[in-house]
Amino acid sequence: MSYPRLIVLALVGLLVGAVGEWASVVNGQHAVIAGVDLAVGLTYLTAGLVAMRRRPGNRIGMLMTAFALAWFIGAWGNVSVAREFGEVPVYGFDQVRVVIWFDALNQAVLVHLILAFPSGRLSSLASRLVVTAAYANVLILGLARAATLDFFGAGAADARFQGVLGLYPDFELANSLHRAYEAAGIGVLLAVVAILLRRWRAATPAARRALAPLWLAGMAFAVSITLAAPSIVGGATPSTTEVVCCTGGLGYPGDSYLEVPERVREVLFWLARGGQILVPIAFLFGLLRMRLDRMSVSDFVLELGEGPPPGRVRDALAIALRDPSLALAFWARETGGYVDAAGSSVELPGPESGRAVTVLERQGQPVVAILHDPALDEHKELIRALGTVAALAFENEQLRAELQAQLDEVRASRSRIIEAGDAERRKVERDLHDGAQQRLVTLTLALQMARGELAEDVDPRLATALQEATDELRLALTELRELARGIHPAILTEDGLGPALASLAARCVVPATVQSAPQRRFSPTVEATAYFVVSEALTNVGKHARASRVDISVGVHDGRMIVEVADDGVGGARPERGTGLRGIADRVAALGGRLECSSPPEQGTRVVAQIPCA
Amino acid sequence: MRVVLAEDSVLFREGLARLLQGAGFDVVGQVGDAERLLALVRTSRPDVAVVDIRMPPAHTNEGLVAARTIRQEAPGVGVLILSQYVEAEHAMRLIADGADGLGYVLKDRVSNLAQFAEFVRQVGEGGSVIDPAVVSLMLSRSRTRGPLDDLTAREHDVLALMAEGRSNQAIGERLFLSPKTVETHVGSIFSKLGLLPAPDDHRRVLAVLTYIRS
Repeated sequence: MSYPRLIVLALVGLLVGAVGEWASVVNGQHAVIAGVDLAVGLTYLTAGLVAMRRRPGNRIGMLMTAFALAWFIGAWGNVSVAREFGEVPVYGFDQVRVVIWFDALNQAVLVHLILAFPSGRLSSLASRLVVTAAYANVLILGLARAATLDFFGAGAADARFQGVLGLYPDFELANSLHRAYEAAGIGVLLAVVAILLRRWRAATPAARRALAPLWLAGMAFAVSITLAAPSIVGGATPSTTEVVCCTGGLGYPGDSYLEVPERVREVLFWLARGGQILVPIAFLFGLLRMRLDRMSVSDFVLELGEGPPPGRVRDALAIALRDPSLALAFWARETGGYVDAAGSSVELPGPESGRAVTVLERQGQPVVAILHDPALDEHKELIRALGTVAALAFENEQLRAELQAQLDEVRASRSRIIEAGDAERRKVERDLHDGAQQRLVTLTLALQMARGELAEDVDPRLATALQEATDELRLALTELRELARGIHPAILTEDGLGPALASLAARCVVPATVQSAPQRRFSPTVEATAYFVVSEALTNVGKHARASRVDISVGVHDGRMIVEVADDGVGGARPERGTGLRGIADRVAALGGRLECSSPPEQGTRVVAQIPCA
Repeated sequence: MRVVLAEDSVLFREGLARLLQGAGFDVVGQVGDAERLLALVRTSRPDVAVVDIRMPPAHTNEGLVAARTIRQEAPGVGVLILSQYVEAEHAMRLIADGADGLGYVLKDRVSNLAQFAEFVRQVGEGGSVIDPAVVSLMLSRSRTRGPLDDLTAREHDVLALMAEGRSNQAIGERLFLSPKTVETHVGSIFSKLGLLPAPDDHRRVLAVLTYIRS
């Protein structure tokens, strides 16, 4: 709302209030009470105007402004007693009756305000009914009561006081109507209390936080009025009672049936005023706290700056907004839908679900939807502020997730490459044994047979040539066997890690002992990797360590195979400089494991590989 | 001496059969897999079965498994395993329950017909043969302290050569010792290893096993 309109509203409110209260004082109202009344009204007016300015989309501001005006109009009842102004009445009794008709309007508006806080909407059927009842009570029963009110008793001499609304002055009827009016007022108040209690019980912490001050104020007000006296309740506001009092208690029906000590009445009066003045203050406090919550944005930024672990953004947001039920749904570009942190598809809740949704966008694209308590709807700006900060973090998390997915894929493919390589090596080894080696052995046999066919007195050169061929064949077989072994030892495939490591240890030039090795079998890739770790480590021990002994141990802990090769040699190994151990380390890493080498000078070398084997 | 052959390569099997026949063996049957080998051994009761370690269906260690079955079903039948690789583990497993009438040699040994025939004969006679390459591999192994630590360096050498399947005569020639001295060393080895007098070949095998297992 623009400033000029607000200023006009403010001036109108001020004028209405000032005139009403001035009239009250002139008519004998205690100046302090009039001052307090003015203060109550002006507090509402101020809070309402501020709210209309700051939160134009919210009806609360309007309701508070409306309350202020209704409140002041109640005071105008006092203006009506024109006799004090001699023969120059400011208003006639028709107007008094109009005022009396509407004197409880402020109560209905207050009920509306309390039940609509903080969203400005009446969300439940119960609250809509109660508010409707409150207005109906004022408009219908109030009119009926005002119409039948016998202001100065039946047959009042001064016809001037029998105005338009006093068409049917009837003491008994007015009395009954007034009792009904009172009862309806009490009913409305009790319903308000019940609704507030129920909401409080069902409310999330975020909602309680938003509503607490207002509800406390509202309930204090309602309770104080309810307790005060039916006559007060019936009159709906003390103003009316005061009107009656000021007008000399002329036949006001409520006075007769409940005796309330003056002192109690006074206390209750102040309680009621205090409660009323708390309501707009509570709302102002709410506005003020919006500022405080903006401070929590900076806390939030700092928190995110710490480098939140995955999923932490949600938690930080939940803390900043104090809504533990807060959930996030990420926009998935590929599927064009929302997914949760685990990647499962998520449907955004509809308007009837009791959940509110705030969608954050970047460059016209949804980034993330925040699913939160509807009570936070009032804090949409705050959510957006936090969300904008969070959007960056979300994108970070998204990138991180994508990166993680890619990394997982790379790891998986690396592991598959190793597996495929191993399978290929096994096949080559087998082909060598069953193919080339077998053929060479058969060839050896053929040479033997050829030699056997020859007579004893064969040309010695031929005999020598045959022998040389046989010797060459044997060498070839030996080399081929070692080659096949280097490619992939058959004993590993056939008998497993323990025998294969024992075989490796037996071939080591430094005395090597297998201290422990698992009996069970593992995947070929895990076995081969462990084998090559030991093989490479032993080769290095033989070449560089100048060790007198080396121990090999293999164990399984928590789904990881721990392969350890430790010697008592000179140490000082630099694995990063040799290609052998580095290649093995790559192989171990490809399976998601780790290879460490510690080799302090003169303290031996220890190679430890951890290979996932679950 | 009656011999059966189990080897899935027909070419190799036929050639080996001819060579063994030429060397004076009576080759009474040839088969291509372990199952038929067991049937053949049951019906023909040979002195020795020469068995390829890798046979159908899986081509891994069917020969070893068959050898164990033969040892149980027909203890009098010797089994000579032919292997493509030098694996002490295979030899150890083969002789785990006793080494009599068992042998484990590299297939390449057929390149020396005289040596190979001797292997077959030893196993056929209830002796035990372990390929020299396997033995030397085992000998190079590190050992924890055991009965062998009581042996002198010279006795060690003698035992190592015994393990390679050499006779006292050959050991003496190798170490430049008189046969008498070698015999003394062998006797000392036996007593230090706690081997009671028995047919010498048997004690030799046990001494070698002690050596290998240590």
